[in-house]
Amino acid sequence: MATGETSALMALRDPDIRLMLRVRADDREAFAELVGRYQHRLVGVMHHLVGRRDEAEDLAQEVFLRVFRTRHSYSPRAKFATWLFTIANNLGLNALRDRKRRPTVPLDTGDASASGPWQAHDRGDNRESPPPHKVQQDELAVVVRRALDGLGERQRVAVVLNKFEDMNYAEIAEVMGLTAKAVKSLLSRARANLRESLREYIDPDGLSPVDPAGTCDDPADEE
Amino acid sequence: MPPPDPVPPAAVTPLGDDELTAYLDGELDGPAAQAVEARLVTDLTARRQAEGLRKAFDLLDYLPKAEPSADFASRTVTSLLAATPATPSASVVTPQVAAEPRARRSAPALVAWLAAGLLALGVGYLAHRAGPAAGATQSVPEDPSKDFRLLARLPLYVGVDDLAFLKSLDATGLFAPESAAAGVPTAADAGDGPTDQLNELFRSYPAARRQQLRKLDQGFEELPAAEAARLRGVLENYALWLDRLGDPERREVLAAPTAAFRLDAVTQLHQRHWRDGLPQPVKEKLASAVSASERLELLANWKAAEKARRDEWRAARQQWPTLSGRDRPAPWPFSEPGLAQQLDEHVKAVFKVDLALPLPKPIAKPELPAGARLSVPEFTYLKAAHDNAAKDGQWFAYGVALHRLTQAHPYLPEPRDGQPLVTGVASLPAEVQQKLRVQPKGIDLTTRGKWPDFALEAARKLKAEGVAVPAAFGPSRPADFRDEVRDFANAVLLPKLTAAEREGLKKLEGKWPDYPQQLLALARSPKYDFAVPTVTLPGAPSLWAKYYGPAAP
Repeated sequence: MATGETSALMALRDPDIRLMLRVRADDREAFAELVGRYQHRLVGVMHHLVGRRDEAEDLAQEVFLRVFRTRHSYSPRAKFATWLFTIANNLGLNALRDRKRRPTVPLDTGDASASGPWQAHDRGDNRESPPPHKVQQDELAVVVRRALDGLGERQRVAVVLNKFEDMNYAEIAEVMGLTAKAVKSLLSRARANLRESLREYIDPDGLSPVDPAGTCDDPADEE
Repeated sequence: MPPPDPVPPAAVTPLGDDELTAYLDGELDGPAAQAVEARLVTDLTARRQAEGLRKAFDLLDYLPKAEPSADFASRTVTSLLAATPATPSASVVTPQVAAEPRARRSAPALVAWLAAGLLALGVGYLAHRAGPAAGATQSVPEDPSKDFRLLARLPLYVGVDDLAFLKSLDATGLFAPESAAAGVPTAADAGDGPTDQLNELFRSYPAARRQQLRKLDQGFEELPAAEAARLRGVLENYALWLDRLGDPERREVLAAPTAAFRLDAVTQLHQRHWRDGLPQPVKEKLASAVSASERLELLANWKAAEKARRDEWRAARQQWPTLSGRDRPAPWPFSEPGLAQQLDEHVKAVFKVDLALPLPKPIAKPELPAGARLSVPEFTYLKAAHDNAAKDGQWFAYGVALHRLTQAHPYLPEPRDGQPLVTGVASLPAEVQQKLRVQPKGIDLTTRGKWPDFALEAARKLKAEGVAVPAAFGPSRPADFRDEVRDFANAVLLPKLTAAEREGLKKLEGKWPDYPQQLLALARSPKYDFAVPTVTLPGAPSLWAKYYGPAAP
């Protein structure tokens, strides 16, 4: 089948591809519509990845910028969302790796929206007396954030796409440029690592066997 | 089928996390999933293992969910489009010409930025987004001679996509003309005719934008006169506002890719300017607020106060002609003899004062008749407004005074004839008398002798102490009211209520003041808009709000 026909068929199935084809033809209104449609998902995913809203917005903006800059070379080969999240994956991974190389403490540490490995660590260890329900929830959010930040970058991306974007293994594989089997392994190790980090919140009685198959790994191993 | 025999954990290889994870993610095919399920039924260790993996994932739900900030989309789109040069087909090279706006309030600076070509981006985009489709469909034929009127208005149409955008702009209330007359098109619209430069500017636009402008102008021309006048005022205010903006901010508005984004940019900018323009003491108070919620509350209060001022001005503008000149006709409700007479009676019955009486003399302690529900300054204010209305035709001021005092002293239906009014401790049941005499602290004694003020005050006190308010405090079902209110409730209001409203009201029967207060709230709600005889101001509540200021919350 000719490429043109493939594009036409895909565009027929995916309204966002139709929109992107309009963006490719320099329809700026279509671009604005695209931003409106995807801003929530993109900012949400980025926030789960990096843990800070301001940074998440910057990254989401950068994703849209790349979409716009590369519009003329756009060719529909997959669902539009898959293509968009491929760009997001690249930028998100770069940001996480960059952060690992040059860790910095957020300036506005009073910002409740701010979290991250460093800040979360400070908050998470302070559990002297049983706090009220809301405080417990907030604290739990910090602990879970810390657990997520403790995953390797690729595990984190896979978890976020699976959990919050509801992507199946094949879709995640396409976004991350991996095989479905590799995604399965990535997610399995990620879940096991999360179970380990959150053990006392999962089973306070300590009854569940931890890592019976010995599959828990050091996140650093994945890279 | 009998359950499978339990499998001792040690006898089989433990299930791997990858199998369990894939199972939990719904990624296993039928037979593989069934195998895992069978194993989970019999293997406690595997079950706990799976449970741990599931719960670990479930805990991720505790992570806060971030929503993009309100202006994220407009910021993103605007910054990208502003940073990216338009493609040749979309770009418009705006000639550097000097336009001559025909707005009656001429704006030299507007000419300046028009002339400086700052519109290139915005107009370029507007032209682009109209696209070939706009030119192809519903096109207005090109006839230069018919553009005469449009050219004269061209400076007002900058940053306006179409009539729908203009109406949305109007709906924001941000550019409301000060009076309808301000925007009335006059012969000056056509003025001396558009200059060659405006003509040249217009001709430089792509055909699609020219068609869009023609359509806008034609639509504008076909509007009813009153609406056209109003929107003309909005256009003028919008143009002057754009003119006052700095270049980057103006670009923010003009480069917005769609009408919706443009509207968003306009409201965001307004919001920003409003905050920046707060008086220094207000800003300091804001800065010293200890929490975000306190800051939000302060901002909300200031906005509410500002809105109240705007509403008052709007009400005043609507009644402007009646504010001056005794020859002007009296406004509603004074223009209707029946209502006007009811108003006089209402003042006597509800405020318990007689406006025909002379003003209290300014001696040491002026007094009003016993039972009067107004203070001396309030009576003086109302009396002066009443007399000025009768003498000089200043009905608007009298209407405002009546409306304000009614809201300051809400009335409640009186009990049917023969039933005592609770206006003092002596008229209360013995146990309540005892209670209030023992603990009179916290009771406003100036309410004694006044209905329903004293009863409300005593009820408030009792409620604060956790004591039920006896039914004897006031009428709390239709049959207990005076004839006028009872008939109104039974014949007018109750039949119109929805089943849920009727049910809700029924549940309050026997409870005072809850029942009469709810009855009044329903009657006065915009949905029913009824005046309640002998209780509320005669005439539709919505008209009082429209002409004399918003209703109290």
